Amino acid sequence: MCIAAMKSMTIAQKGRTALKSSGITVEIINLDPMLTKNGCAYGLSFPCARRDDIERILKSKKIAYGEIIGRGN
Amino acid sequence: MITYLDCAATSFPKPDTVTEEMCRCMREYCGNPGRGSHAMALRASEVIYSCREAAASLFGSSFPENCILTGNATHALNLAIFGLIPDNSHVLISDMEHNSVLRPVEHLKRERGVSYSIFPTDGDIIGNIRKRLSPRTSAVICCHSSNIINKTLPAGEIGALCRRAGILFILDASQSAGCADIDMERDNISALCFPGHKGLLGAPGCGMVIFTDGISVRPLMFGGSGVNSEEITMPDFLPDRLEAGTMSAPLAAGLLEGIKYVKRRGTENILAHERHLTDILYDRYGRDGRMKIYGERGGPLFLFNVYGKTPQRVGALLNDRGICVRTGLHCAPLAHRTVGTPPGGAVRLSVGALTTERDIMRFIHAMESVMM
Repeated sequence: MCIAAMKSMTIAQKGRTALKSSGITVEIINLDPMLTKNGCAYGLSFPCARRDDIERILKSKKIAYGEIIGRGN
Repeated sequence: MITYLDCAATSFPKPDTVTEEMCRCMREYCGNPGRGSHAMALRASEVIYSCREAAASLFGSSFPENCILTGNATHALNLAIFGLIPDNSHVLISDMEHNSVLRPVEHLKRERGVSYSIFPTDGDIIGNIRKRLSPRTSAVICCHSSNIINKTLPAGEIGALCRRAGILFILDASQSAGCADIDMERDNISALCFPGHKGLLGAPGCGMVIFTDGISVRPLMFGGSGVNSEEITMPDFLPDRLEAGTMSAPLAAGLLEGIKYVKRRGTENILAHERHLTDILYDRYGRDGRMKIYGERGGPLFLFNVYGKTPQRVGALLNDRGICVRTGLHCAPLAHRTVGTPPGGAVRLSVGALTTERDIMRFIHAMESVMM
Protein backbone atom coordinates (compact mmCIF):
# COMPACT_ATOMS: atom_id res chain seq x y z
CA MET A 1 0.00 0.00 0.00
CA CYS A 2 1.02 3.60 -0.54
CA ILE A 3 0.29 6.52 1.76
CA ALA A 4 -0.25 10.16 0.82
CA ALA A 5 0.75 12.35 3.75
CA MET A 6 -1.90 14.95 4.55
CA LYS A 7 -1.55 18.08 6.66
CA SER A 8 -4.46 17.33 8.94
CA MET A 9 -7.41 15.10 9.62
CA THR A 10 -9.69 17.66 7.97
CA ILE A 11 -7.64 17.81 4.78
CA ALA A 12 -7.41 14.03 4.79
CA GLN A 13 -11.20 13.88 4.99
CA LYS A 14 -11.54 16.40 2.19
CA GLY A 15 -9.21 14.27 0.10
CA ARG A 16 -11.08 11.09 0.91
CA THR A 17 -14.40 12.74 -0.04
CA ALA A 18 -13.00 13.98 -3.36
CA LEU A 19 -11.54 10.58 -4.18
CA LYS A 20 -14.76 8.80 -3.20
CA SER A 21 -16.73 11.00 -5.58
CA SER A 22 -14.34 9.75 -8.29
CA GLY A 23 -14.95 6.14 -7.30
CA ILE A 24 -11.74 5.59 -5.35
CA THR A 25 -11.92 4.37 -1.77
CA VAL A 26 -9.04 5.25 0.53
CA GLU A 27 -8.48 4.84 4.24
CA ILE A 28 -7.42 7.56 6.67
CA ILE A 29 -4.57 6.44 8.88
CA ASN A 30 -2.37 7.94 11.56
CA LEU A 31 1.15 8.46 10.27
CA ASP A 32 4.14 7.39 12.29
CA PRO A 33 5.48 10.72 13.65
CA MET A 34 8.95 9.49 12.70
CA LEU A 35 7.90 9.65 9.04
CA THR A 36 7.21 13.38 9.17
CA LYS A 37 9.29 16.39 10.08
CA ASN A 38 6.64 17.93 12.30
CA GLY A 39 5.24 15.13 14.43
CA CYS A 40 1.69 13.77 14.35
CA ALA A 41 -0.01 13.73 10.97
CA TYR A 42 -2.49 11.78 8.92
CA GLY A 43 -2.36 10.01 5.62
CA LEU A 44 -4.51 8.41 2.96
CA SER A 45 -3.75 4.75 2.44
CA PHE A 46 -4.41 3.30 -1.03
CA PRO A 47 -3.17 0.62 -3.42
CA CYS A 48 0.01 1.86 -5.07
CA ALA A 49 -1.45 1.00 -8.48
CA ARG A 50 -3.87 3.97 -8.06
CA ARG A 51 -1.11 6.46 -7.30
CA ASP A 52 -1.32 8.36 -10.60
CA ASP A 53 -5.12 8.60 -10.44
CA ILE A 54 -5.03 9.77 -6.86
CA GLU A 55 -2.41 12.43 -7.44
CA ARG A 56 -4.28 13.67 -10.50
CA ILE A 57 -7.58 13.98 -8.59
CA LEU A 58 -6.06 15.65 -5.53
CA LYS A 59 -4.22 18.14 -7.74
CA SER A 60 -7.32 18.89 -9.80
CA LYS A 61 -9.28 19.59 -6.60
CA LYS A 62 -6.41 21.69 -5.21
CA ILE A 63 -6.15 19.47 -2.14
CA ALA A 64 -2.66 19.74 -0.73
CA TYR A 65 -0.79 16.54 0.02
CA GLY A 66 2.76 15.85 1.03
CA GLU A 67 5.08 13.02 0.30
CA ILE A 68 3.77 9.76 -1.17
CA ILE A 69 5.19 7.03 0.99
CA GLY A 70 5.41 3.56 -0.52
CA ARG A 71 6.74 1.54 -3.38
CA GLY A 72 5.38 3.70 -6.16
CA ASN A 73 3.92 1.99 -9.20
CA MET B 1 -47.28 24.11 30.29
CA ILE B 2 -44.39 26.25 29.07
CA THR B 3 -44.67 28.35 25.92
CA TYR B 4 -41.22 29.27 24.70
CA LEU B 5 -40.96 32.52 22.74
CA ASP B 6 -37.28 33.41 23.17
CA CYS B 7 -35.81 31.85 20.02
CA ALA B 8 -33.60 34.86 19.28
CA ALA B 9 -31.62 33.92 22.40
CA THR B 10 -31.69 30.16 21.87
CA SER B 11 -34.15 28.29 19.70
CA PHE B 12 -36.49 25.78 21.30
CA PRO B 13 -37.78 23.20 20.71
CA LYS B 14 -35.21 21.42 18.58
CA PRO B 15 -35.99 18.89 15.86
CA ASP B 16 -36.02 15.35 17.25
CA THR B 17 -33.25 14.43 14.81
CA VAL B 18 -30.92 16.90 16.58
CA THR B 19 -31.54 15.48 20.04
CA GLU B 20 -31.42 11.88 18.83
CA GLU B 21 -28.14 12.23 16.96
CA MET B 22 -26.48 14.03 19.88
CA CYS B 23 -27.56 11.21 22.19
CA ARG B 24 -26.41 8.59 19.68
CA CYS B 25 -23.02 10.27 19.51
CA MET B 26 -22.72 10.28 23.29
CA ARG B 27 -23.68 6.62 23.42
CA GLU B 28 -21.88 5.22 20.40
CA TYR B 29 -19.08 7.31 18.92
CA CYS B 30 -17.94 10.07 21.24
CA GLY B 31 -14.22 9.67 20.61
CA ASN B 32 -11.72 12.51 20.32
CA PRO B 33 -11.86 13.92 16.78
CA GLY B 34 -8.58 14.54 15.02
CA ARG B 35 -6.63 12.66 17.66
CA GLY B 36 -5.61 9.17 16.66
CA SER B 37 -7.07 6.97 13.96
CA HIS B 38 -8.95 4.31 15.88
CA ALA B 39 -12.55 3.66 14.94
CA MET B 40 -14.12 5.98 17.52
CA ALA B 41 -11.76 8.86 16.79
CA LEU B 42 -12.41 8.50 13.08
CA ARG B 43 -16.18 8.40 13.49
CA ALA B 44 -16.09 11.49 15.70
CA SER B 45 -13.88 13.17 13.09
CA GLU B 46 -16.34 12.23 10.37
CA VAL B 47 -19.30 13.90 12.05
CA ILE B 48 -17.25 17.06 12.57
CA TYR B 49 -16.16 17.08 8.95
CA SER B 50 -19.74 16.46 7.78
CA CYS B 51 -20.82 19.42 9.92
CA ARG B 52 -18.20 21.62 8.25
CA GLU B 53 -19.29 20.42 4.80
CA ALA B 54 -22.96 21.07 5.55
CA ALA B 55 -22.25 24.58 6.83
CA ALA B 56 -20.00 25.39 3.88
CA SER B 57 -22.69 24.19 1.48
CA LEU B 58 -25.46 26.17 3.22
CA PHE B 59 -23.47 29.39 3.15
CA GLY B 60 -21.88 29.24 -0.30
CA SER B 61 -18.33 28.33 0.66
CA SER B 62 -16.27 25.77 -1.24
CA PHE B 63 -13.92 25.23 1.68
CA PRO B 64 -15.08 23.00 4.55
CA GLU B 65 -11.63 23.36 6.09
CA ASN B 66 -12.27 27.09 6.49
CA CYS B 67 -15.28 26.40 8.73
CA ILE B 68 -13.98 26.91 12.25
CA LEU B 69 -15.96 25.48 15.13
CA THR B 70 -16.40 27.83 18.07
CA GLY B 71 -18.30 27.87 21.34
CA ASN B 72 -20.87 30.39 20.14
CA ALA B 73 -21.26 33.40 17.84
CA THR B 74 -19.46 35.71 20.28
CA HIS B 75 -16.44 33.41 20.19
CA ALA B 76 -16.67 33.36 16.40
CA LEU B 77 -16.80 37.17 16.23
CA ASN B 78 -13.88 37.52 18.64
CA LEU B 79 -11.86 35.14 16.48
CA ALA B 80 -12.66 37.07 13.32
CA ILE B 81 -12.23 40.55 14.81
CA PHE B 82 -9.03 39.92 16.78
CA GLY B 83 -7.68 37.62 14.09
CA LEU B 84 -8.19 39.92 11.13
CA ILE B 85 -8.23 43.60 12.13
CA PRO B 86 -4.81 45.25 11.85
CA ASP B 87 -3.56 47.41 14.72
CA ASN B 88 -4.04 51.17 14.32
CA SER B 89 -6.61 50.75 11.56
CA HIS B 90 -10.22 51.94 11.39
CA VAL B 91 -13.40 49.89 11.21
CA LEU B 92 -17.07 50.61 10.62
CA ILE B 93 -19.89 49.08 12.64
CA SER B 94 -23.64 49.69 12.44
CA ASP B 95 -25.89 51.39 14.96
CA MET B 96 -27.70 48.08 15.52
CA GLU B 97 -24.79 46.09 16.91
CA HIS B 98 -24.89 43.61 19.75
CA ASN B 99 -22.19 43.78 22.43
CA SER B 100 -20.56 40.79 20.73
CA VAL B 101 -19.35 43.25 18.09
CA LEU B 102 -19.26 46.48 20.10
CA ARG B 103 -17.13 45.20 22.99
CA PRO B 104 -14.40 43.53 20.90
CA VAL B 105 -14.15 46.66 18.76
CA GLU B 106 -14.00 48.89 21.84
CA HIS B 107 -11.26 46.62 23.21
CA LEU B 108 -9.30 47.02 19.98
CA LYS B 109 -9.68 50.76 20.35
CA ARG B 110 -8.29 50.75 23.89
CA GLU B 111 -5.53 48.21 23.38
CA ARG B 112 -4.44 48.32 19.76
CA GLY B 113 -5.12 51.82 18.49
CA VAL B 114 -8.06 50.82 16.32
CA SER B 115 -10.68 53.52 15.84
CA TYR B 116 -14.25 52.87 14.84
CA SER B 117 -17.19 54.75 13.38
CA ILE B 118 -20.85 53.87 13.69
CA PHE B 119 -22.96 54.10 10.54
CA PRO B 120 -26.73 54.66 10.71
CA THR B 121 -28.95 51.91 9.37
CA ASP B 122 -31.79 54.16 8.32
CA GLY B 123 -32.00 55.74 4.89
CA ASP B 124 -29.17 55.12 2.45
CA ILE B 125 -27.11 52.50 4.30
CA ILE B 126 -24.53 52.13 1.55
CA GLY B 127 -24.12 55.89 1.33
CA ASN B 128 -23.81 56.05 5.11
CA ILE B 129 -20.97 53.53 4.98
CA ARG B 130 -19.26 55.07 1.96
CA LYS B 131 -19.05 58.54 3.47
CA ARG B 132 -17.33 57.12 6.58
CA LEU B 133 -14.63 55.18 4.73
CA SER B 134 -11.08 56.43 5.13
CA PRO B 135 -7.71 55.25 3.84
CA ARG B 136 -7.20 53.58 7.25
CA THR B 137 -10.48 51.64 7.11
CA SER B 138 -9.78 47.91 7.22
CA ALA B 139 -13.26 46.42 7.61
CA VAL B 140 -16.99 46.73 7.89
CA ILE B 141 -18.23 44.64 10.82
CA CYS B 142 -21.98 44.41 11.21
CA CYS B 143 -24.97 42.28 12.00
CA HIS B 144 -26.98 40.84 9.14
CA SER B 145 -30.25 41.04 11.08
CA SER B 146 -30.88 42.91 14.30
CA ASN B 147 -31.54 40.93 17.48
CA ILE B 148 -34.23 43.35 18.70
CA ILE B 149 -36.30 44.45 15.67
CA ASN B 150 -37.04 43.08 12.22
CA LYS B 151 -34.29 44.86 10.33
CA THR B 152 -31.92 43.14 7.92
CA LEU B 153 -28.96 44.95 6.41
CA PRO B 154 -28.20 44.51 2.68
CA ALA B 155 -25.28 42.10 3.02
CA GLY B 156 -24.79 41.73 -0.73
CA GLU B 157 -24.54 45.50 -1.29
CA ILE B 158 -22.26 45.97 1.71
CA GLY B 159 -20.07 43.13 0.47
CA ALA B 160 -19.88 44.67 -2.99
CA LEU B 161 -18.86 48.00 -1.47
CA CYS B 162 -16.17 46.27 0.62
CA ARG B 163 -14.87 44.53 -2.50
CA ARG B 164 -14.59 47.85 -4.35
CA ALA B 165 -12.93 49.49 -1.33
CA GLY B 166 -10.52 46.58 -0.84
CA ILE B 167 -11.52 46.03 2.78
CA LEU B 168 -12.74 43.10 4.86
CA PHE B 169 -16.40 42.34 5.49
CA ILE B 170 -17.16 40.54 8.77
CA LEU B 171 -20.83 39.58 9.01
CA ASP B 172 -22.58 38.62 12.24
CA ALA B 173 -25.34 36.26 11.14
CA SER B 174 -26.49 35.43 14.67
CA GLN B 175 -30.13 36.19 13.88
CA SER B 176 -30.21 35.35 10.18
CA ALA B 177 -28.37 32.03 9.86
CA GLY B 178 -31.10 29.50 9.23
CA CYS B 179 -33.73 31.91 7.91
CA ALA B 180 -31.89 33.97 5.28
CA ASP B 181 -30.15 33.34 1.99
CA ILE B 182 -26.46 33.93 2.69
CA ASP B 183 -23.76 33.18 0.13
CA MET B 184 -20.21 34.02 1.16
CA GLU B 185 -18.80 34.11 -2.36
CA ARG B 186 -21.71 36.02 -3.92
CA ASP B 187 -21.85 38.50 -1.03
CA ASN B 188 -18.06 38.88 -0.72
CA ILE B 189 -18.06 37.98 2.98
CA SER B 190 -14.57 37.67 4.47
CA ALA B 191 -15.75 36.06 7.71
CA LEU B 192 -19.25 34.80 8.43
CA CYS B 193 -19.96 34.33 12.15
CA PHE B 194 -22.99 32.56 13.54
CA PRO B 195 -24.24 30.49 16.47
CA GLY B 196 -25.28 26.88 16.13
CA HIS B 197 -28.01 27.08 18.75
CA LYS B 198 -30.37 29.65 17.23
CA GLY B 199 -31.72 29.40 13.69
CA LEU B 200 -29.57 26.38 12.90
CA LEU B 201 -31.31 24.50 15.73
CA GLY B 202 -28.25 22.90 17.33
CA ALA B 203 -27.46 22.81 21.03
CA PRO B 204 -26.05 25.75 23.03
CA GLY B 205 -22.26 25.67 23.11
CA CYS B 206 -21.61 25.56 19.39
CA GLY B 207 -20.98 28.23 16.81
CA MET B 208 -18.86 28.75 13.75
CA VAL B 209 -16.91 31.25 11.71
CA ILE B 210 -16.33 30.59 8.03
CA PHE B 211 -13.40 32.43 6.50
CA THR B 212 -13.01 33.18 2.84
CA ASP B 213 -10.16 31.28 1.23
CA GLY B 214 -6.62 32.62 1.31
CA ILE B 215 -7.15 34.92 4.26
CA SER B 216 -4.55 35.08 7.04
CA VAL B 217 -6.02 34.87 10.55
CA ARG B 218 -4.18 35.23 13.86
CA PRO B 219 -5.18 32.51 16.35
CA LEU B 220 -7.12 33.49 19.45
CA MET B 221 -6.21 30.33 21.37
CA PHE B 222 -3.10 28.19 21.38
CA GLY B 223 -2.59 24.53 22.24
CA GLY B 224 -2.95 21.02 20.95
CA SER B 225 -4.26 20.52 17.45
CA GLY B 226 -3.62 16.83 16.86
CA VAL B 227 -1.10 17.52 14.10
CA ASN B 228 2.39 19.01 13.81
CA SER B 229 2.94 18.13 17.43
CA GLU B 230 6.70 18.62 17.23
CA GLU B 231 6.19 22.29 16.32
CA ILE B 232 5.90 24.80 19.16
CA THR B 233 3.71 27.11 17.11
CA MET B 234 0.20 26.60 15.80
CA PRO B 235 -0.14 25.02 12.34
CA ASP B 236 -0.29 27.47 9.44
CA PHE B 237 -3.35 25.84 7.84
CA LEU B 238 -7.06 25.77 8.61
CA PRO B 239 -8.94 24.61 10.56
CA ASP B 240 -6.15 23.39 12.86
CA ARG B 241 -4.54 26.83 13.15
CA LEU B 242 -7.65 28.21 14.83
CA GLU B 243 -9.01 25.19 16.72
CA ALA B 244 -6.87 24.54 19.78
CA GLY B 245 -8.11 21.75 22.03
CA THR B 246 -10.76 19.10 21.59
CA MET B 247 -13.77 19.92 19.44
CA SER B 248 -17.15 18.56 20.56
CA ALA B 249 -18.44 15.72 18.41
CA PRO B 250 -21.90 15.67 20.09
CA LEU B 251 -22.36 19.40 19.46
CA ALA B 252 -21.23 19.00 15.86
CA ALA B 253 -23.58 16.04 15.45
CA GLY B 254 -26.48 18.18 16.66
CA LEU B 255 -25.52 21.13 14.49
CA LEU B 256 -25.21 18.87 11.46
CA GLU B 257 -28.75 17.59 11.98
CA GLY B 258 -29.98 21.14 12.54
CA ILE B 259 -28.47 22.28 9.26
CA LYS B 260 -29.99 19.27 7.48
CA TYR B 261 -33.40 20.26 8.89
CA VAL B 262 -32.97 23.84 7.68
CA LYS B 263 -31.94 22.64 4.22
CA ARG B 264 -34.89 20.26 3.97
CA ARG B 265 -37.38 22.91 4.97
CA GLY B 266 -35.68 25.85 3.21
CA THR B 267 -34.62 29.18 4.70
CA GLU B 268 -37.29 31.07 2.74
CA ASN B 269 -40.03 28.81 4.08
CA ILE B 270 -38.74 29.15 7.62
CA LEU B 271 -38.71 32.94 7.38
CA ALA B 272 -42.21 32.92 5.87
CA HIS B 273 -43.41 30.79 8.79
CA GLU B 274 -41.83 33.16 11.31
CA ARG B 275 -43.32 36.20 9.56
CA HIS B 276 -46.72 34.59 9.56
CA LEU B 277 -46.54 34.06 13.32
CA THR B 278 -45.45 37.59 14.17
CA ASP B 279 -47.93 39.07 11.66
CA ILE B 280 -50.65 37.71 13.96
CA LEU B 281 -49.20 39.89 16.72
CA TYR B 282 -48.76 43.00 14.56
CA ASP B 283 -52.35 42.60 13.35
CA ARG B 284 -53.62 42.10 16.89
CA TYR B 285 -51.68 44.84 18.68
CA GLY B 286 -50.82 47.30 15.92
CA ARG B 287 -53.55 49.70 17.02
CA ASP B 288 -53.76 48.69 20.67
CA GLY B 289 -53.33 51.85 22.73
CA ARG B 290 -52.04 49.88 25.71
CA MET B 291 -48.88 48.84 23.95
CA LYS B 292 -45.90 50.53 22.28
CA ILE B 293 -44.42 48.44 19.44
CA TYR B 294 -40.89 49.08 18.13
CA GLY B 295 -39.81 48.31 14.58
CA GLU B 296 -41.91 46.86 11.83
CA ARG B 297 -43.32 43.53 10.78
CA GLY B 298 -41.41 41.19 8.47
CA GLY B 299 -39.38 38.83 10.65
CA PRO B 300 -39.28 36.66 13.75
CA LEU B 301 -39.25 39.48 16.33
CA PHE B 302 -41.91 41.46 18.18
CA LEU B 303 -40.48 44.14 20.49
CA PHE B 304 -42.87 46.02 22.72
CA ASN B 305 -43.62 47.72 26.00
CA VAL B 306 -46.88 47.92 27.92
CA TYR B 307 -47.71 51.44 29.07
CA GLY B 308 -47.59 51.72 32.84
CA LYS B 309 -45.53 48.59 33.38
CA THR B 310 -41.79 48.02 33.18
CA PRO B 311 -40.60 45.38 30.71
CA GLN B 312 -39.28 43.36 33.62
CA ARG B 313 -42.72 43.39 35.25
CA VAL B 314 -44.35 42.31 31.99
CA GLY B 315 -41.79 39.53 31.59
CA ALA B 316 -42.40 38.33 35.15
CA LEU B 317 -46.18 38.35 34.69
CA LEU B 318 -45.84 36.39 31.45
CA ASN B 319 -43.50 33.94 33.15
CA ASP B 320 -46.13 33.43 35.86
CA ARG B 321 -48.47 32.42 33.03
CA GLY B 322 -45.97 30.01 31.48
CA ILE B 323 -44.77 32.31 28.70
CA CYS B 324 -40.99 32.70 28.19
CA VAL B 325 -39.90 36.00 26.63
CA ARG B 326 -36.82 38.13 27.19
CA THR B 327 -36.83 41.61 28.68
CA GLY B 328 -34.28 44.41 29.07
CA LEU B 329 -31.58 45.46 26.63
CA HIS B 330 -30.86 42.07 25.03
CA CYS B 331 -27.07 42.70 25.20
CA ALA B 332 -27.60 45.39 22.59
CA PRO B 333 -27.76 48.79 24.31
CA LEU B 334 -26.49 50.52 21.16
CA ALA B 335 -29.36 49.06 19.14
CA HIS B 336 -31.87 49.95 21.85
CA ARG B 337 -30.66 53.57 21.78
CA THR B 338 -31.03 53.57 18.01
CA VAL B 339 -34.56 52.19 18.21
CA GLY B 340 -35.51 54.56 21.05
CA THR B 341 -36.65 52.27 23.82
CA PRO B 342 -36.63 53.63 27.39
CA PRO B 343 -33.59 52.99 29.65
CA GLY B 344 -35.09 49.72 30.91
CA GLY B 345 -35.38 48.39 27.40
CA ALA B 346 -38.36 46.43 26.20
CA VAL B 347 -40.00 43.01 25.99
CA ARG B 348 -38.86 40.85 23.08
CA LEU B 349 -40.92 37.98 21.78
CA SER B 350 -39.05 35.89 19.21
CA VAL B 351 -40.24 32.89 17.26
CA GLY B 352 -38.38 30.12 15.48
CA ALA B 353 -38.80 27.38 12.95
CA LEU B 354 -40.68 25.13 15.36
CA THR B 355 -42.84 27.77 17.05
CA THR B 356 -46.55 27.18 16.43
CA GLU B 357 -49.66 29.32 16.06
CA ARG B 358 -50.87 27.73 19.27
CA ASP B 359 -47.84 29.25 21.05
CA ILE B 360 -48.82 32.67 19.74
CA MET B 361 -52.43 32.19 20.83
CA ARG B 362 -51.27 31.28 24.34
CA PHE B 363 -49.22 34.50 24.45
CA ILE B 364 -52.24 36.55 23.33
CA HIS B 365 -54.40 34.90 25.95
CA ALA B 366 -51.85 35.59 28.68
CA MET B 367 -51.42 39.21 27.61
CA GLU B 368 -55.10 39.94 28.25
CA SER B 369 -54.54 39.56 31.98
CA VAL B 370 -51.01 41.05 31.90
CA MET B 371 -52.29 44.31 30.36
CA MET B 372 -55.21 44.69 32.78
